[in-house]
Amino acid sequence: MIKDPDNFSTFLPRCGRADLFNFIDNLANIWREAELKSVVNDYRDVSTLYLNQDYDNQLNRLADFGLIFQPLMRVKSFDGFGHKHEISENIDESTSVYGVISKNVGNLKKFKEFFSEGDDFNVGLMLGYPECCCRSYSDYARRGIIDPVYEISESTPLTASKSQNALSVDQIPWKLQIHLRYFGLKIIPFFPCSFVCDEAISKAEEWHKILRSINSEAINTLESLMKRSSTWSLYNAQIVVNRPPFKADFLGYATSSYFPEKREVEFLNVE
Amino acid sequence: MDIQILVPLLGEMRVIMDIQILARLLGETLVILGIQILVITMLIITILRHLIIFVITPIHTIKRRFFLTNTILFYPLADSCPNGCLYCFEDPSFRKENVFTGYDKYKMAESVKRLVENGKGSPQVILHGGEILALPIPDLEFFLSEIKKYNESPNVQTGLGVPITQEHIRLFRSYNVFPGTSVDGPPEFNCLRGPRDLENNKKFQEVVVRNIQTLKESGLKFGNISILSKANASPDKIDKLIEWSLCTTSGGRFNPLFVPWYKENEEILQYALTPKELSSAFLKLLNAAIRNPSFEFALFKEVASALLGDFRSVCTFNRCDYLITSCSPVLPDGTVARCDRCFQDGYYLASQKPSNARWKMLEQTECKGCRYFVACAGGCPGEGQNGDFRSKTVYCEAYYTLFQAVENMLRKMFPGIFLTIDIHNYYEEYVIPGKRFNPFMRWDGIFTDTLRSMSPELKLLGWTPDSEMERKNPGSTGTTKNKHGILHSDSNSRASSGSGCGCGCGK
Repeated sequence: MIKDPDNFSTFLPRCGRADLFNFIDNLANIWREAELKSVVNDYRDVSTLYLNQDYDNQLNRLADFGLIFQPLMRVKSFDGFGHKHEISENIDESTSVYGVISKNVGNLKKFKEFFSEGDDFNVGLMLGYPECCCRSYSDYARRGIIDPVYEISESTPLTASKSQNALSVDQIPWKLQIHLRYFGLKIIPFFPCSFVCDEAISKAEEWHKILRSINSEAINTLESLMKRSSTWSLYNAQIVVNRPPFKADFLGYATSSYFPEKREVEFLNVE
Repeated sequence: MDIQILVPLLGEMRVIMDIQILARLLGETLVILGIQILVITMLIITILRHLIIFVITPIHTIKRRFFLTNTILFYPLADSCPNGCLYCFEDPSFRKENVFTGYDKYKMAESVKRLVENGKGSPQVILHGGEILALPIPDLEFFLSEIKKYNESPNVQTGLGVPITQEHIRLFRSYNVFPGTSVDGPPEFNCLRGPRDLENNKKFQEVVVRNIQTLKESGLKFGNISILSKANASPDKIDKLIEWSLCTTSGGRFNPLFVPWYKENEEILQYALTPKELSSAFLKLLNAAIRNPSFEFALFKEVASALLGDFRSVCTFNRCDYLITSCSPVLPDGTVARCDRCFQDGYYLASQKPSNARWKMLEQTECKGCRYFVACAGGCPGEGQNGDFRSKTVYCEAYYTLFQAVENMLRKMFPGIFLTIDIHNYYEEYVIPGKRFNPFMRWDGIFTDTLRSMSPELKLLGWTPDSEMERKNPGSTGTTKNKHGILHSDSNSRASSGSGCGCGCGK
């Protein structure tokens, strides 16, 4: 039995790009705001949320928007990106409360039920994700694949196989590049069933609008960072996302379920 | 007798007796005083001895182990080295993209100061990267004076590609510099260093030879780094390299050729030693180091240190985090980068967060079950197989051979010695909490406290007070326990049991 390493993600900027650290932090705040707005503006029924430390202010803010918070579990806090929650019993600064927000108590109860049953399909639907994408993700999850970037690439038409366990994906919409989310670079908060899924593209447009309404300048920068070719590889439970040698801005790093053979995907000509 | 005669006589006798008493008293006092001085001296020696054993040594050990590991490199000529060695592991885009235009020595000095202030202990600051002899003398003096603030004997690393002048010697002397040279052997072996065209390379080699002579004549002591490749360490060349090192440099570091992964051209790959060749070269160097006390083979000491639990050892065996790295090069614009071996992937800055994912995963995958994982932890991530830092070092086989040879030596020389590899969770139990590891704990009564404190871990190896008593006085307890690492060395008991130690380890 292989034990996964702790949740972890970081990026290594190239020389002279240290200001990107601040940009990534800012992007995380924009996303938190967007998720809240998506429920307030009835774009979807529920959204997940982490509460930590500053409980009174956070709950006050939710109340101001007429939102109710339903705790789901207490988890160990982590920065940036994590593949899974580490459940914790401790009530202290090292833990957060993972929960769901909605305007409607009935939705919260329904969500909690699906969540506790591990029903990824219905959880995804309630979070407003496309049905085809929810179906494919719940299928991956059942097979124990919690970060199906390679599998989504395989399901994408026009994907070429470079060699064993190495794929090349060409001309995909930049907004669906879910493999950049480890650094907070994302437009959609879900795994598409393929990198050319029409439903996912239409959802991405909606999310793009919400994000731009919060901070259009930052989202323009996000677009410029995401509209680039990149590589993704998983080996020994560590994922590295990289732009091709010597033109790179990021070397991303996160953890996932163990995979003994290296799996690689090259994303080319992102539009 | 006339009373008039008797009285003075009695008086004289009394005086004589008084003198005798006085003398005896004086003698006794002196003897007592001597004894007292002796006792006090012994007391002082005992106190000092205990002070050294229990206070000073542990503090120094901890300091060495945890605080003196950071290396800071001044990199003023990162973008403009005149040497142009074939295997340079700096990112070629450094130069192609003109990332730096010159260097800002004040910004660099400021960064080093900040690193030292924010770091623990006193790090080693080295003037490094590019050919430092190409620096203008005033700037060289500036950097030396900066390093002198932190290190008593500033260390500079040079490929000796520029003629050493009397000015250099003056500076080296006045700043008490310990030069480190980077030479791979005699000119015909040093061919991977220096300009790539034949004519200029020949001139370069002449300069190197002259510089070595100049250093020797000036009486300056220097250490050397040789890169082991097919150019100098293949089976037909390694003996000559050792001979040259013995006569010229007294050895130093012998690092395997580092092939940056972007160097996918045949020219450099053809120079990499095969695992067998590298293993054989390591063993020959080890042999030379044993036969010649003055010959330095740093890797031997580092492997021994890793086995003996003294982590002043090199970063290679210290679970270096590829995202942060223990070495901090200060680039020409004052930026603090990761170890220069990481430049190969085109990223220079460090991550904001450290990670132990690499070695934690290697322990469960590629290195699973390796006898030396505790001491080696997969080696340098920059040397990862196929240029992938997530893999174990590409030199695994050669390092394993060296670990095996050194382990055998240690166990033969010190029967009953404990090595770090005997404690499966040594890193978590000793290195992280900063506990002192005493490999000789079973020999030294002074360290009985350590033995006691180690007993939970030793129990995992089958150690009990009874088994220890049995070892010291065979037959005294009647115990027949014979578990991993403790009583294994008793070949008779193994023979009589007929099935090894009985614990399923196969020994």
